[in-house]
Amino acid sequence: MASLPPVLHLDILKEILSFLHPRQSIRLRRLCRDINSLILSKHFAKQNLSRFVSRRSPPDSKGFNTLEFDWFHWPESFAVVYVERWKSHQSHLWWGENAVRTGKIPRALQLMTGLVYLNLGMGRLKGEIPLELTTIVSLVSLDLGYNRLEGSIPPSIGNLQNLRLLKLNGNLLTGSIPMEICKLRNLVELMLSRNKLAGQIPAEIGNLVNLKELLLRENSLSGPIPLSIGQCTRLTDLYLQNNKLEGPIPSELGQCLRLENVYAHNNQLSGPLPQSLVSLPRLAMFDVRNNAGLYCDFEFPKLVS
Amino acid sequence: MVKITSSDNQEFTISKEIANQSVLIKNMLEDVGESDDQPIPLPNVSGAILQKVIEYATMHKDDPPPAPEDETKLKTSEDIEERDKEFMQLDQGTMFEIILAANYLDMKNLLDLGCKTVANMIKGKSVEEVRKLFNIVNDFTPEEEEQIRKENEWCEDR
Repeated sequence: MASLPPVLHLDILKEILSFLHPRQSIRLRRLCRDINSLILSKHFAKQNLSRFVSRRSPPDSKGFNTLEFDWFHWPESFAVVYVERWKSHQSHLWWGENAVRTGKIPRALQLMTGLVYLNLGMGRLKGEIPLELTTIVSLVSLDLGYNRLEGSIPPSIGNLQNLRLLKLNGNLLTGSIPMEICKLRNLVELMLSRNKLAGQIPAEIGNLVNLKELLLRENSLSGPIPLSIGQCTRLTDLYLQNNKLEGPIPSELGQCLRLENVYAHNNQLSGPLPQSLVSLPRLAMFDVRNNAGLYCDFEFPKLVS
Repeated sequence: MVKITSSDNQEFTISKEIANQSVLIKNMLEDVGESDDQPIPLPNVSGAILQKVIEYATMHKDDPPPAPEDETKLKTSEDIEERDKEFMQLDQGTMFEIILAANYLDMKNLLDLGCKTVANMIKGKSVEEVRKLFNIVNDFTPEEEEQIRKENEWCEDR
């Protein structure tokens, strides 16, 4: 036998690498340039993934979950092939219990055109909210809360007309709240708390007539509380505390007859509290501590000031 | 019977059902017709390797014809028959030669077996060890390699 083993050409190396679990094959990108390009190719991704995910029936739960978690790290070619072949008809996607929750939101998600629930909350996702996400118009629930997402909320979020829940709280989002968010008329819960959002609350917020929870606390929002808030007649919870909101509390708030909890402390609100608040039948808490100059000249037992 | 000769001019006489496991030989036989008893030259395969390949083909001559591509069945590298595992107990040089021969002779099952076996060898090996195994020269700049290492943080340390 020859002392040096023969050299296997790229075609054969491709066959060999395609038998490795994607976690192992992608690791070998570092071998050399040719192999790096090979592994990043869509053709290789197809061949490699075909050995680990069946087209028709889902593989055993263990293998499935491993791939699911890895998905957020894969090169784009793998992410696209995975979605194209196996995920395009899926309506739900959420973290598994033991997910390694890092990485970026794969742009390939946009290929999941039938997606209804996308729950990627409580992870360590980085980067911006990909615009591609705002093309999945079937979405009813979008939870990206408590990650490390940066950048601003894309105005195209207004495309997601079926959205009932939008949860972006607990991230590092900057910029202002796009007024396009007020096009989401089916929205029931809007959670943007604990970000770095600045600018004003959009004046059109009252278009969200189905809103029950509006949670904006712990941002840097300034300007007035929009008068149109009175049109959100289903509102039960309004969290505005720890911002830089100015001006009066609008008397229109008294039209939100289902209001239960209002937190507006630690702002720069001023002026007289409107008497319309007293007759809110379900109100349990109205907290306006530590503001610039709010005063109350009537009996208001639910008030914390 | 069919006659084949290796690169080092060893002649082998094999039955047609064994010869037909190589798509290359099968096509050649169809081209030259039944009557021709000239040996078929296989200039890319040595006698020693051809011997092993014939051994494999003989072992599998009674296999049922392959089922049509079954999408629900996954063919991972764990999927190796016991007798094939034994057959592949070879030194690395011979193993690679057999893979190259299977590729040249167009014997899909043997090629898959070889590739799966090598894939199993790679598992758990460091990038450096794999480079050595395949005699691959690292042609990245340190910056490029560092970039990939960064992108691969999630899978590097496994």
